[in-house]
Amino acid sequence: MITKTETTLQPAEWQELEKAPVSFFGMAWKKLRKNKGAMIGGSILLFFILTSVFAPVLTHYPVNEMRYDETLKAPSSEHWLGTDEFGRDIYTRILYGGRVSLLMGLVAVSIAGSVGVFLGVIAGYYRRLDLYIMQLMDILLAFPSLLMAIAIVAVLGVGLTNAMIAVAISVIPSFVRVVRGSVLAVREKEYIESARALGVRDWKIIVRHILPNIASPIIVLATLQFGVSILSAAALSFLGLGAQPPNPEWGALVYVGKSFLSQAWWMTLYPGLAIMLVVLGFNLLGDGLRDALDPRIK
Amino acid sequence: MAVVEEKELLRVEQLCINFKTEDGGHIQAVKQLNLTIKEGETLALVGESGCGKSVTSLSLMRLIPKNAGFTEGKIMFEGKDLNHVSEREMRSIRGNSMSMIFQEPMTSLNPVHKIGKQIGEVIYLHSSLSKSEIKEKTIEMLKKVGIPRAEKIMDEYPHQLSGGMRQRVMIAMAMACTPKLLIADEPTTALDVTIQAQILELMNELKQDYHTAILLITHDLGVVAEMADRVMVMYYGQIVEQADVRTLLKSPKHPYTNGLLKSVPDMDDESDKPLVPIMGNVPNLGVIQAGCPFYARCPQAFQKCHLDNPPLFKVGEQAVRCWLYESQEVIA
Repeated sequence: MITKTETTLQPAEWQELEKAPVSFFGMAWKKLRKNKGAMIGGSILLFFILTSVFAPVLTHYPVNEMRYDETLKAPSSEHWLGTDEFGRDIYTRILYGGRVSLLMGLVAVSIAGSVGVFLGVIAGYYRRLDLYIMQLMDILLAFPSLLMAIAIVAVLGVGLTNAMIAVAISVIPSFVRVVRGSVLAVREKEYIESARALGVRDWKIIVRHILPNIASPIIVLATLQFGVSILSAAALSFLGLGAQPPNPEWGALVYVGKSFLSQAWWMTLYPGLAIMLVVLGFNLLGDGLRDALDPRIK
Repeated sequence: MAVVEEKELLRVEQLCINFKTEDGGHIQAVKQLNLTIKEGETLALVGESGCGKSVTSLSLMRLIPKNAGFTEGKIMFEGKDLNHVSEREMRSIRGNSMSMIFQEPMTSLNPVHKIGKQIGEVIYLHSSLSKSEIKEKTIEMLKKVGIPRAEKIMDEYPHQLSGGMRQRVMIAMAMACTPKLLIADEPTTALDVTIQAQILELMNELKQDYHTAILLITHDLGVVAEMADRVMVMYYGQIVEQADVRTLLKSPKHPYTNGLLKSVPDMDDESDKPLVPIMGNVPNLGVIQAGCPFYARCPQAFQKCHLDNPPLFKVGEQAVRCWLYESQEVIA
């Protein structure tokens, strides 16, 4: 016979409770800190973000002022990364260009992320619309993303804003796919059924129970897509479809520099290097995040 | 023995649950099921895997997705036919006057929310209490289900708790709004035996304190003996035997119930008598057959069983779906 006192806890259960509480993201942060690649990537990004933010402090040259006595100077102690055909300091232009490039990535990922998450949740949760949404995404995915972005810019017109929109649209399908898949997996979990059995309404289940559970793949994807977006935006600018000179956007800098490739290699090398490093940073961080946020990898 | 007649809480009449199949047809997972639960009573639904127990419980809460299946029949709960109330009204019933605990305590709690938040959400949904009152009530519920240091547990995540603790939290969630009916779908299957006993005892205590009726779904006859007032044995989507728990365990009438009881090891039996399993499997629901669905596995089957599915016969206080009792009065 079972007595009432036995319904309290066993010593083993007690012990388990003594462990310090750690949240999921707390544990992920711990794992992330141990990941060398992610830390290097994160440091690169932090470096570029800080240099863009504090650009006016880090240089005394104005971005767009032309000095015809200083044209096409090679890197020196005065102009660390040389000057361009109008005598503007490349180092300065890269610092300010970082603001544009990083912002383009941020805007594109924000647009693509919000639209993609919305469509992905609708497709995964309300299966009725699934087929239509996914077919639309398949059509978008059938085009190479850069070609797609070029086509969109061709329709919307050349310019920074339109380039951001074009890049965003070309990135949307990957968000929709990932989110839909994650929603499909989570919606069948017992805690969702149990939430439903407790009388929670649909939108609340989505916002409070499903979205927090699929945050990890979304964070990872957003990080990786950040790099892709910056690269696509730079490619558009390089093709003359995005940021227009004299805007110091990195892709635009490379675009201008390519005409002087034989005389002034520094005009293309350094902005190109900046693009490469930032994209590398996002990829390293994204990979690290994926490992850190994956509960299966201990 | 004078028994006070309790009010009827739930009456299910002619419940049929159908699922659509790939080829456009449908299979019937539950066939013309009738059941009643009185206030404060524990009814056990017993049967092996795939006989329609869990589906029945989900349909009571109207949780079977509309595009997957459809249900027919009447589900009268506190005088309302649940098949005809609005979704909004249904939500106000779920978790409030009718709630449910699931089999897997490991996966039934949302891993990203703290325990306190999850229990608080139910109270918030079905009451107009203030934030601090909800917190108080949550702590009270946690204490009620035997969790010490409830204040601390509030701020912990499900993965920090053991299976038994999680099931206690699930019960606290389900009982937070003092439901009239608690549906427990195999509540102890995933737990080890000592914890199992504690959880069952806890459910019995709560049942007495709150006068909650329990629909207990299980395949464990030991649990049935411990908990149930009445038992219904399900096979192939229909009730094959129905009786109060003592009668059923002492003198099972249906060959299937008999078989179930024989396949449970007896602790007091010192001899090396082997267990007697029921041979074969539950037949595929998609295959429509004429005779008794247990025919192929039944040791007492005869000619008639092969031809017709028997109705429920009244045998004393029991109801049995078997041609062996053909001479008795037909109930349904």
